[in-house]
Amino acid sequence: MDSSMLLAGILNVLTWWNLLLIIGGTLLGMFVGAMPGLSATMALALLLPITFSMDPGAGLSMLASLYVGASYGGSIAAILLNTPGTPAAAATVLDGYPLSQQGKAGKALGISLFASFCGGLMSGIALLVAAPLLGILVLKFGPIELFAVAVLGITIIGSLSQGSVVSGLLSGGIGLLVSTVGMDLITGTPRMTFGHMNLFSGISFTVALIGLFSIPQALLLIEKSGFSAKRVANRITDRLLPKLKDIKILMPNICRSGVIGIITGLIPGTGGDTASWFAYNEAKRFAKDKSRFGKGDVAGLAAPEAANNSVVGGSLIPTIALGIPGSSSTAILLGALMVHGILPGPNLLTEHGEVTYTLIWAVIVANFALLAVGLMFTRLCVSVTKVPDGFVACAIIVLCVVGSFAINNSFFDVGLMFAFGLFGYWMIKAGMSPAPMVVGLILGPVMETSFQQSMLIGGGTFMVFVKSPIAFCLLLLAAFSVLQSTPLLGAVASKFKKPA
Amino acid sequence: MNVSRLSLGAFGVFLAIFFFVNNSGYPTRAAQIPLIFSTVVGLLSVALIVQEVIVSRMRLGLATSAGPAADTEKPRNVRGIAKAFIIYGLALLYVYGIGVVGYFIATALFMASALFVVRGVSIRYAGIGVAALLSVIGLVFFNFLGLNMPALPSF
Repeated sequence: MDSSMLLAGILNVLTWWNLLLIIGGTLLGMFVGAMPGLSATMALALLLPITFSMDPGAGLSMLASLYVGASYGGSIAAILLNTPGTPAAAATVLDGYPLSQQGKAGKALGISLFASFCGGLMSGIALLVAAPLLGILVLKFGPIELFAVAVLGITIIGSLSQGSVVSGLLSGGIGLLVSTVGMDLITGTPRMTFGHMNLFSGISFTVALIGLFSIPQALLLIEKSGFSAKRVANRITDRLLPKLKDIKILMPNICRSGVIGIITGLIPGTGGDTASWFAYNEAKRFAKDKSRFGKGDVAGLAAPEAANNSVVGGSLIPTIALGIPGSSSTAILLGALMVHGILPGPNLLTEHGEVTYTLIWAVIVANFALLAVGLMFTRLCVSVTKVPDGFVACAIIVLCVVGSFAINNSFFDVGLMFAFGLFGYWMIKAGMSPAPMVVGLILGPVMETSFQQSMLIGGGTFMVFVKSPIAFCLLLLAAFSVLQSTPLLGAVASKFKKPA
Repeated sequence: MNVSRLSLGAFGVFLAIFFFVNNSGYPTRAAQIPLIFSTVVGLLSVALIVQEVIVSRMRLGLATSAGPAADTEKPRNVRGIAKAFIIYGLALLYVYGIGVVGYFIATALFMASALFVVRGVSIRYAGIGVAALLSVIGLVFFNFLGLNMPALPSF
């Protein structure tokens, strides 16, 4: 671990401006998370253009803190409205809402906040320790191994994302295909541009991101508006600050859930929702009195909250060390790096170490900001949950237009964003996740460059990927990740099973 | 049968053919990766269509054996979808309108018309909300980022 980079990173984060951005980002994240129907990914996509004019460290600090804030914010709606603010807070509803119905909304929110803080802090420390270690290993990777890593990334995300493995992989494949539009990096041939100057530099990743994540969300909110019942939030009548006695009892559960969240986050394609259900089940399994779960047990509330916040740091480990985003939110953080000319890959921790360590420290500091901001502003979030869906949806469209225009000051980008938005809406209707497509857009250029370099090394033969043991293992793993989610592997396994 | 899924599969096949045909004319090194990707997308799209047909046939078989009560497919929210498409159309008009009447007037007009279509938001709430939204955008995008977008009418 390069100590000078480590120091530079923390010094960057601890400037007044960056601290202010972290606090602002956390607060904004909490508000977004508290509004049912809005996701952290969408907020990150909308905020991304604002960070263009900022220093990379400052922009990333703000985005990272928004991600941290939204992970907690989802629990506010879950506890007070019986509706998870984000998919990751779905497990929080089970014990959070009964607690608020018992007049213990403050206690529930306080425990959720503290568990989120502990989980987030644990994952931040894990990120600080594991990413550089993995980074050292990855430095030995050449283009052949990098190509294999990119293939593994896209197959894992495709096969583990929402819907069937075919739809996940197709989504990733479309992303890869779209990433080839524009000037070829090796020969300089303009591909699929049809003489249109705006397409020569390729399709802007940020434009696609805003369109794919924000417009479908707005259209879905419009669809639901007027049909869903009016939201009535439970009132917070008790104190928010959790008691030391409660914290002491919950600590083993929070630590276990934090570890679950970190490990889940490490696997690309899985997210806070998987981690929180996993942690909830484990908390129930370890509990002495299981009958209290679902009726307002604080252990059932602390577990998912610690887990979904610890996913943040966990999912950033492969993002930073390998350049493979662990989730759609980290894909946006990676996109923010790309906007500033920092390309994903093993060089993130060496050539761009200062910015990368700033991001890592920002995740840690954002958790402290979350604790402070959460204690001060959670009560205010109750009013945010009352904003009508219709208004939020229209405001999202307005922000999408201004955000996509801000990227290149071009109306062409706004049109492209709307096209991606419609496609994203279509994908959701078809039960297909847009997240692999975004990852495909990021990994496409990496994959192409490393493939071309590998072909040069291997004299134009595909055997080059078999000759490298690391690349071969990674490609085998990629094939396995696809096969394990198909009925094929189950059928083969059942053939080998001995009859009972 | 999920029509969106089927049509997306068909679109995937079209996209793959479109990319494959166009990229075939480029130099070998520039075309290599797009050709591989388009082949993969084409195959996956066909797989999606086949999967959807098989799954829906299986569902249909189950529904017939269990009687009409087994058909649990959710009814489509046609009115909601229509509203979403109207707002989408209004948003496209809004983008065109920015060049004519400027960002602030176009935004106010879009919000007013969109909220009228959506319903459920009181005029007072909408007025305050739109004013707040425009203030934030003006401050952040026009003042802080110096956005090069026509803010007011050019005439």
